[in-house]
Amino acid sequence: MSKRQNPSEFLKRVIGKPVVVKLNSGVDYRGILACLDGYMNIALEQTEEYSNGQLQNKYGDAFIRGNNVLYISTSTK
Amino acid sequence: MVILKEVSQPTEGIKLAAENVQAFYKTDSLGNGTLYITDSAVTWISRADSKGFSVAYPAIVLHAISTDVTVFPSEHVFVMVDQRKSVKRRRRAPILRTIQEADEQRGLELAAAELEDEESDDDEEGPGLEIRFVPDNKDCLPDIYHQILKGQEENPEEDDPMYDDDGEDEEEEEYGEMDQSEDGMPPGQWITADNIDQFQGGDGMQMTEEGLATMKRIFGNREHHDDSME
Repeated sequence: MSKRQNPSEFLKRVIGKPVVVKLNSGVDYRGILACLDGYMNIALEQTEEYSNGQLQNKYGDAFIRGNNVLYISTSTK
Repeated sequence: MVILKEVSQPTEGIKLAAENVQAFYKTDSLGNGTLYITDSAVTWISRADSKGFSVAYPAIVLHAISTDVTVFPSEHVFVMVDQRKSVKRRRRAPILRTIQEADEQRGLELAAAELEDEESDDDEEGPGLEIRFVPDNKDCLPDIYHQILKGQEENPEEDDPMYDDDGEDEEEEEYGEMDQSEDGMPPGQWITADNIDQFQGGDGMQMTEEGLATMKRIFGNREHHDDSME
């Protein structure tokens, strides 16, 4: 088992990488994690919005308010 | 606050030093002296006896150029001081008083007494202390005004919600100091791949309270998960 990571190590590893951000509403946003701020607000680039597994929209840049985020995961794509 | 005391002449961070500036408390002249606008305070020192006063920027509620001679006979820079803030300051810096000319002393005690009265009404909205600076050369007025403005911008209140709006010109500079900040990362600062290393202080990334709560919510389960794996 790899060494346990704290959140900032995780963020450090995924920043600039493709991620999946799932919101509390269940909608997924897949894109490049461009940056985040002190509120855990997130900016994604090349964003795709998925609802129920279906691609709904594409955004160049998307800003996601931190308090809506359920999880952030690395994307395998 | 306007109790004249021994004030040492500022030597550091002087933005502006203007001689022949009369200071007024409300409409009472405190005499002719030198006005120093420094990085940390606005200081006026009487030419007659080297006494004066010093107002730190957080205590300056408002400053303006007044040109309405129907309100006051000379054009001047008007400064409104929040006494409650200046009172705190006074506790930090004890006042040294020495014997001085009788009539001036009387005037000052008057001002001081008036001030104490106002302070006792602290529960009500404390009236601001009105100070006017009248330079002999009124061409100085815009410069005095702008230098105080600069000082204000450089000394934001830490918990002032207007802080972000005020500091736009200083952004670069403030970002530079941010590494040493212990108060968490101010909102508006973005963590990117380029700067994330700066935010790896002792207990991890510096977040606002709200950000930490969100982070805990997002990552809380994850850490439990990792624990169980170990």
